[in-house]
Amino acid sequence: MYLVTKWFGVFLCDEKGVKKKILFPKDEKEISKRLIEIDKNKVLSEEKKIIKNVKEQLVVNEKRLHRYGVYKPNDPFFIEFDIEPRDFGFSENLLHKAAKVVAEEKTLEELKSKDLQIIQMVNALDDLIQVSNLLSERLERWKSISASKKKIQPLENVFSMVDSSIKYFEKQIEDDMRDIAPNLTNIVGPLIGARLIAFAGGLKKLSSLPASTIQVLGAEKALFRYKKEGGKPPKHGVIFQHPYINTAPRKFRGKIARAMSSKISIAVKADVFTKRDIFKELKLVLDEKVKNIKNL
Amino acid sequence: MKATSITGVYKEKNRIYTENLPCCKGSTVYNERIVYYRDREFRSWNPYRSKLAAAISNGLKISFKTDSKILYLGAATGTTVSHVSDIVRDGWVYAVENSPVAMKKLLYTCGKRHNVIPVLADANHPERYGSIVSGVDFVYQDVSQRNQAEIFKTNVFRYLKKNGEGVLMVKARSIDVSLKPKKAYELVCLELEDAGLKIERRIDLHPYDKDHMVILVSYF
Ligand SMILES: C[S@@+](CC[C@H](N)C(=O)[O-])C[C@H]1O[C@@H](n2cnc3c(N)ncnc32)[C@H](O)[C@@H]1O
Repeated sequence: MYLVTKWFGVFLCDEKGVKKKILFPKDEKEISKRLIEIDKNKVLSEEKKIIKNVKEQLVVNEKRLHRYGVYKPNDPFFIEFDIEPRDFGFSENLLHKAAKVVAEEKTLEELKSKDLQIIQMVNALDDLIQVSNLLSERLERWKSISASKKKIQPLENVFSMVDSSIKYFEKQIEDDMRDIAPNLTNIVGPLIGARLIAFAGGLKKLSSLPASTIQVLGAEKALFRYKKEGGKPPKHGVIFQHPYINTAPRKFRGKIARAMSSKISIAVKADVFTKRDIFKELKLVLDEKVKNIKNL
Repeated sequence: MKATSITGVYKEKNRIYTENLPCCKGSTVYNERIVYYRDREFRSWNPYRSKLAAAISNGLKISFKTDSKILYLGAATGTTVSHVSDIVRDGWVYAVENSPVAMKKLLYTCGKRHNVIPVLADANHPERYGSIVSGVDFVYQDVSQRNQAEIFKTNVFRYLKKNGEGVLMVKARSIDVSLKPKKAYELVCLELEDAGLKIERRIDLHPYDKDHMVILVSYF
């Protein structure tokens, strides 16, 4: 017996056809509610109900349902046997409407997610830092030829505003980073951590990257040039900003970058998957490693 | 304005067009040109903006019917999806996209199109949209990911009906930047053939896109 869930209902079937069914209400809100549950990996109440008192072994094609039957995603039954919504009085126009509700809700939720906000904040921060540098240079030059207070005041105002925005974003990024990625934050600091997330395109994406890619994140142009034209591979991207690397003698930098990125990779995986704090041990190991490299 | 050998695709001079859906009269998706011919409204399909238009301009024949069901992976903001939706007017386009930023725009550009079913999901995991999508006539994929052949196969095996077809847009650089484009295409084709898919045609998208190849595949 096969357990099949479609957007319009749940079905128990065998080779001959549908044996038992529970249809969903013909309402886009009700349908979208169930599609969202499914998306969140939950088991629907209709699914629990339909399999009650079923003695036979069930086959399912979603991991979500693996507790209720054997998981066989490639069983030809699922491809050959189509359950048509129209046969049960559902028009696909209803699916169009329900899918839109689901996509809208999920989109909103994902756009709100903290890592995407952090990416925007850290990019804004880097813009502000650039502006601040420009303004401070201008102010200095102006003052060197002695400026009239009245004329220079507006620029001073903007400069101090930019500076307070910088402080604001630094604080906000640090708070959010400690919240979503405590291990990463403790290994490389909130700002480098945030820039790594930005270059990867999200925390989850960062967690799926190999250490060798993390090592050169932010140096994409250099990496591309190397792969196409050969020469020296770039040794480090954003993580070069870390004092471990940029205060080390040049000849050690590549090795330290490699050690760091491997620890970063472990830290981010813990932040995303196990959610356990492992940074104390990681940091000890990393510090030891850096010391050894320098003493070589 | 003349019909071409591809259902739903029209030609005038050297440009191709699709007929706008009645529900979207007067509205454009990416600022394309609208022209009227015998009271019918046509949207110009720009091969520099849409790889499918580029492929068709370079001779690709696709077997869409007005009631085909299409699984479209990598829908982005709906440029190409909107034209496919014009073509399969009485069918369905399941538009899968995993970037919420792109999806937001897609909902805006194609939300009114009654035959587009938006799905915010990762095409690497087709089973996550198993309750929404079922048995399609065509799989169209444009995701520019390194493992795109893998993504294509898993979706084809799960959703493409027997005797169906599929199109894969391959960007050489996303396979491996250090490989020559020809080698990258070769790798993708081999992987598809090993999985039992038949390569029907390969067409370069030059001059519309650099280092892009469209691969037409059939499945028995
Ligand atoms: C080159 S664009 C597609 C352009 C579109 N086909 C058009 O012509 O209008 C590639 C899209 O695939 C999406 N994408 C990449 N990986 C994906 C995945 N694993 N699942 C779903 N969509 C993906 C990207 O977010 C991006 O919007």
